Amino acid sequence: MSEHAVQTDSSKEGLESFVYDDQIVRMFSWATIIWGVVAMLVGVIIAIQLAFPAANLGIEFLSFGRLRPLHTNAAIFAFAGNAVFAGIYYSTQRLCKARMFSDLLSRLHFWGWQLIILSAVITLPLGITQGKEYAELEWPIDLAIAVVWLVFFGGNFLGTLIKRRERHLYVALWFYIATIVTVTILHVFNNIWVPAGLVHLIKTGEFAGPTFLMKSYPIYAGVQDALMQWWYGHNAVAFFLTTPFLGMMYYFMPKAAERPVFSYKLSIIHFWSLVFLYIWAGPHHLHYTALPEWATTVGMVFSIMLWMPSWGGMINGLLTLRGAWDRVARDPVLKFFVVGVTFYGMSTFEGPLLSIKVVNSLSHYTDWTIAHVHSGTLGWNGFMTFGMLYWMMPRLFQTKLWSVKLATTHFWLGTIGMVLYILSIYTAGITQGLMWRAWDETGRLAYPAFVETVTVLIPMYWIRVIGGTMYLVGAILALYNFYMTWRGRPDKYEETVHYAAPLSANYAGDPPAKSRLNANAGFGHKGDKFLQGNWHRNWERKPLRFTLYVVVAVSIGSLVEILPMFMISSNVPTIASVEPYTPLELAGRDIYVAEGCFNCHSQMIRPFYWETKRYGDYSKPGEFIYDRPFQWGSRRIGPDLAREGGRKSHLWHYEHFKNPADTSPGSIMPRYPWLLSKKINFPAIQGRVDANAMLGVPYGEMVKYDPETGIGYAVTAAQFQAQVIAMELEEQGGPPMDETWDKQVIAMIAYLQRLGIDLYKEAPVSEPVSGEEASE
Amino acid sequence: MADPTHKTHQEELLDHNYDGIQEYDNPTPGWWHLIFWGTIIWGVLYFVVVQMTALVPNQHERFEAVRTAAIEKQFAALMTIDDDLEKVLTVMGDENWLIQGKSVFAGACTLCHGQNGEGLIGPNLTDEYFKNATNLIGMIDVVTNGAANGAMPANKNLLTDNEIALVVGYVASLRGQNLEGPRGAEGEEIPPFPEPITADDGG
Repeated sequence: MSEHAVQTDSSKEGLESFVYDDQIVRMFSWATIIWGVVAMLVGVIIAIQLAFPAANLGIEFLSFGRLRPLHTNAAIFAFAGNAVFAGIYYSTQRLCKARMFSDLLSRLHFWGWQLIILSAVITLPLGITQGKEYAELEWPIDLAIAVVWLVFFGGNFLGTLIKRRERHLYVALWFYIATIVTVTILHVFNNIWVPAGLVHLIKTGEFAGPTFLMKSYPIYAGVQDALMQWWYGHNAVAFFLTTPFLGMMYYFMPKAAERPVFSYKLSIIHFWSLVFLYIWAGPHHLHYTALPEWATTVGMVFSIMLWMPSWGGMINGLLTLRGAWDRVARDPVLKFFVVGVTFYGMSTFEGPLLSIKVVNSLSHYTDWTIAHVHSGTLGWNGFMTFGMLYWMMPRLFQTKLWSVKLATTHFWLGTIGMVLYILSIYTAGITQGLMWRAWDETGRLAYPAFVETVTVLIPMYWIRVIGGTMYLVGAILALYNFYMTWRGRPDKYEETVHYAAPLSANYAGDPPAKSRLNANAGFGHKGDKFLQGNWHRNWERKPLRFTLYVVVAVSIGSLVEILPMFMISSNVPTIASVEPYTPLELAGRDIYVAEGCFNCHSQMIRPFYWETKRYGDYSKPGEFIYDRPFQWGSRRIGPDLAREGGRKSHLWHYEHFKNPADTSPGSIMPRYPWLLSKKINFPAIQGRVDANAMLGVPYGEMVKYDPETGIGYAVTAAQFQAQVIAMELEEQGGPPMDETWDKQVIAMIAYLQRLGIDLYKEAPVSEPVSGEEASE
Repeated sequence: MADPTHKTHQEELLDHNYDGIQEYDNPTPGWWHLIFWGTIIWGVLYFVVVQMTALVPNQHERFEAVRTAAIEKQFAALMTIDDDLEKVLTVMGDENWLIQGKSVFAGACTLCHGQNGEGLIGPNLTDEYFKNATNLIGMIDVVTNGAANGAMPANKNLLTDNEIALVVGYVASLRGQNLEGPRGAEGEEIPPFPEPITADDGG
């Protein structure tokens, strides 16, 4: 067991005794491995669907657009999240020489978090989503996350720091602090919304269904929403999937290798540079979009500056293994760590590479991004987690690991599976990216039909299925090993009592630095003392101040990017002809969001000739001012839809939703038969319009109610438009209008036919015409 | 990895001990500093040059330049022709223009009219019957502004005039192939199109 913790000193006078809470670590570890298997299983299911769309069995709850968010949320928040909590609870107690501040908070944290995951498992397949990647969970769950994360977890962690018996905070704890405060900031500011359903219920007393009660609209729209979302999204990667894992690396790797950390100085510089620089990099997810170019350039240069801060972590990890390499060959724990850290190094080199605009113009919207994130999650997060779990298992269950051989098998299955996954998907991404942009000297697109660029990828998708399945099988082996080890536990866990002196209030301070310079250099002496880092040693004694400095570090980049986007109107020039969605279109848009269409379809045409040739004019910032949430997407599994309006007939859309392969042979889009049978929730439409009006969308009379019938004008307008579209559909050869007019497909068609057409309209006469499109 | 037995300097352990974890007082590697500060200097310079001077055109200016050059290169020969009908007939008379017309067709039309114009949701374009147009000028109008109450969508925001001429020329060239499609003949049989203009005619 722990070699140093137990004080065998005969005189325990003045020492406090304490016992670590390992039960909570066991709970989080179980949750990690169980949710991990679930997350990977869902991943394999949706990977199969991409190669073979009928695999969703025609069940709406299993359709790709709804399950993909479940996969990402489960992988990030359930698998990686629980791993982070297990690692933090185990290491923080030992690094602080203190039991967690409150057992009650620990349990509230554990059960609260599992309930949040469970609610995600229920709501996401039901199509209850905010429609923003990795921030899909709707407002009541957002509130629960804020409480569980900040109050239960953050409060418990900070309380432990305060009652610690170790004077200085070890580097792992710095990373945990950065994780807790930054994730709080990101989560809160990306999830400010108007809960439309709740407002409607309170205002009118009308209950328009449980799904609508969960519906919210973000206060940000279009370009601003995109900036906030990718500020959040990128830094969720930074502060949920990177900083806590670096902290865990700093604890578990030296423990497992029994070697000192390579360089304390490197820890300091890479920690602060990472925390300060990461927050700026978000806009690299929005290169060539309608986001102002200056912001994307900022995102790009900061991403490149991030290369070395990230590699600082990798170097400190790998060089810590010096002198222990012989053991890597024997010990699966170290194997997992070595490959995990190596994948960290690879993906943090690839990240800056992908942030370079010219590279991004090829990689964006393709599987290259998917390959990149999977080398991060499978390689770095997954392998660090498995390494940590295998190291903790015998210690938590106070017995030997059931099978080292099985763990080694897991390692090889996972590694080979990962390589198969990543290589096939890199190939798919680069292939498709090159096909999209291929145009010959006569100016024609080499692959004008989008579906040609999809069918060619199917073999690669099958290889991904094989690789992903191998990784999943590896995780199941880990679960089995975990279970068998657990079965070998003692009847009663031994609870080692530890002794340590409390921190005295009157600490003399750390020994001051002495200048190492001989010459009488004046200023040089000061500089040399600074470089020795004793100032940082002081910070490490003061957790509250340290936390404050982290908040300052992450706030600077955030404010510099976010404030101008809201305060300087030239960043989002308005277009006089762009008007709000009609009530029916808005309802259709909400169905689009709920079905998760954005998981496969972008709505953002970039200013490249080949892209405008395929999709039409590039997108302008002013076109999105009523888009709550923005739906620019990040992957084109299907074609861009930014200018879908008017491109095809209603009938085409109707038939396409019924069976996409009929209208587009080779299409891998799933069927949407339920859109043809489920009814539009007309009463909720008034609530949707009212909520948008609250946010400043000029809906005018639409927010009023007919004094005679009490029916909202927005509802009446929507019903009228639905009948018009259904009539046109019938005229085009579709089914009779009385069969279709109140079905969801009509609202969807209304929305799709509106996309991107306002740019070409005359400005409404009632508005003062600005006379220019002001696209630049 | 560095072999611990070949150390060039004695590594110093700090008096840090956290649950048994110790730390070396090793300096950060020189190459790390070099690249780190290098990227920062580069980042500042890059931002200043790209965003704050006029030395580099912005992404929209670059796009316009590419588009102008591409259109010039692609359509120079067509752009000299003012008459719409003459343009379409020129396309019909030149194999290279037809290949380009086919590409436009593949991007904008096949989803409704089928891979080869045999018809799907929209009518068969390879027979002698036409639903919404009676001649080539009418076909240009149908492609541009749509027809049949939206069953045939308008393409004026999607395709340029030259692309419309290309695609109409290509569609006209399909006539008479009489491919088997899922729909029967629709509309009226219309008079034959005028003879294409070939390079020889132009001479």
